[in-house]
Amino acid sequence: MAEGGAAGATGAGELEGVLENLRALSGEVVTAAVLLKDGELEASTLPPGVDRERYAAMLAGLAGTGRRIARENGGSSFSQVRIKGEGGHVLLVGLEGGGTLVATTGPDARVGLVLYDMRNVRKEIEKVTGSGEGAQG
Amino acid sequence: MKRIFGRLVLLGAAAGAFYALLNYLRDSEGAKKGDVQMVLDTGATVEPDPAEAQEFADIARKVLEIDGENR
Repeated sequence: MAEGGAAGATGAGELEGVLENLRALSGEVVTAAVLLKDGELEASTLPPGVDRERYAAMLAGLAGTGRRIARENGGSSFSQVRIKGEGGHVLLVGLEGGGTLVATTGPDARVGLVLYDMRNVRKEIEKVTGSGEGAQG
Repeated sequence: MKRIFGRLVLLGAAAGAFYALLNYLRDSEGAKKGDVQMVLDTGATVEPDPAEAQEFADIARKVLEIDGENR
């Protein structure tokens, strides 16, 4: 379910495709989402009926905390974050321009492999959102 | 004999309650070491302090709850 936003309707549709590809590539991904720097949910694989605003707010909270910790430790942002919870893992991969690629998995997922797949689709996402190399912003 | 048996039952119940309490306290502990790992854009690997890790864990739990409801 694409959200639409800075990348426009077509871009959001493309992003949704990229996220679905990620899920197909990495079968252990439950939900994938792209969050813009301002916390807007650009695209996600969330099923209908989920409160997207609430979900986006929570993901923005994770990304914001990650950036804050990165700054406290001498960086400007995070490259990746791995959070292990009772019901699974929440994985964050930083995008150029301040966006974030988020994926959730079950508790027994091979997290390293999922992160590898997330890093592989990162460039494609940055290209669509216009935050990659050569793009402004 | 009956009295001894009664005391044994009481003792067993008390031990069970203590064990349940111990498990509850263990489960409600904060984020454990290694639960949150970050790699910065500098390449450095960071493990947030317990308060920050707890902040991550609390939000992540809610995200995973939503996922669980929709799986």
